[in-house]
Amino acid sequence: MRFLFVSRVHEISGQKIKGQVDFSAGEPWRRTSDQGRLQISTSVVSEAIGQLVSWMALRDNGFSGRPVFLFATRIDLSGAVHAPGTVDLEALITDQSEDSFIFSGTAKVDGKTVVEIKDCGGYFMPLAELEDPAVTRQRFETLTTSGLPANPEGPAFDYSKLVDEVNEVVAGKSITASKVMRKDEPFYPDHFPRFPVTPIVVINEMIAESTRRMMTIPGEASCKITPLAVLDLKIKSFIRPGDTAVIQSKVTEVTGAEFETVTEILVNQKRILRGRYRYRKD
Amino acid sequence: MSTPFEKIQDIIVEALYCDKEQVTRDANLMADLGAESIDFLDIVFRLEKTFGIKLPKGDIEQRARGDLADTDFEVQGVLQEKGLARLRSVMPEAAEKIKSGLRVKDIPTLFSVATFERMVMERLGDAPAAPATNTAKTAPATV
Repeated sequence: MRFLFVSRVHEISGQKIKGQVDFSAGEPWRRTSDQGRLQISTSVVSEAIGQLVSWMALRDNGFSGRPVFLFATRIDLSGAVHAPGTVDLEALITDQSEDSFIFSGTAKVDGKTVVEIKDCGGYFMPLAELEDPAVTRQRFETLTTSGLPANPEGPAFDYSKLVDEVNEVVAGKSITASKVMRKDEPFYPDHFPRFPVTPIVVINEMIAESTRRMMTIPGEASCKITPLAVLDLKIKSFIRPGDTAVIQSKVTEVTGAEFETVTEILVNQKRILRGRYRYRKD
Repeated sequence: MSTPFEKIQDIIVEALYCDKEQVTRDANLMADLGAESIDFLDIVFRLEKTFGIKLPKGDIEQRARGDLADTDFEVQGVLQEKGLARLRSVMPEAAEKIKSGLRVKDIPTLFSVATFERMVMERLGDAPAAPATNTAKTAPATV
């Protein structure tokens, strides 16, 4: 199950990069909407923007350091992305030092913005600690020439498995849930081959799944929610294979069908993530 | 209208999820408020955006080094007497904690809320810089 979400790099100019990601109908990270349409999670599309900007940073530092995203001021998730389809990606590094960076970016479908990332930043990690630099360099060459095909088709990822257990829940108000990250999770081989860590997209989907369970009223059908935004996200440490992630969310604001939560994730009783998440109850 | 210190307090509260009452000038970012390295990146980013200034990474270390010979500043990562003296002049709010045995990599542990206040005010031009130790220019305010 490949975890690569850039199909082609079109242009790098100054601190700006443009590219695209192609999704096939058999994209493993797909979901099926109520109307039966195949959709790609906006978290995956956010990841695509991050991967795009990483390619520019990697090229600029001679494939010595890979950006690791640790905070984001705001990620707006404003549109559906259907599969099969192509998403146009664009990102701009707005600040960079030898060991840290900040960027913003967008994903568009047919000219309409579906995801916008504002002020996302983090540190560089030595590339060789994460993956084989020669393979990464070769992949970049391919992205800038012939491009990569869409991810190999496969069974759809079961997002419900991102929560193992609901430890405590007050419907509509708060939840504590947990997930044991198995060492054979399908996203670890590519993220990263030499140092597997749980991708932010998986973490955000884990939070969404626990939020869905929080908002489900006992005795009623399973609640459906649409993520709208992530705000003030900060990640202090990685979730590694074998870790048990404890997700704690509470609703802080409700406006009609929209609501906002504050979510923290703890590993070994240490808070490693905090963010505010906005959703719409469908 | 918020004072610069109040804005800095708000930024630190948002970045560290602490109570405003904890964010006193003397509060140490790491020891008292639980800041980690990613928090420093976040705080600096927020300060730069809020005040329209640049706070170059490693600025305090560079200013303390000044024109000192490398071995006068540190040996195998341990600050020497001249380096300690320079650091005290660049970080007067932490002077009493700058003692023999301090390592260069531990400079962030000295940061207090007052450190960020001084850095911001220097760049806004509203406070005198800590005594210059070389001819390197401080980043000008961009407002």
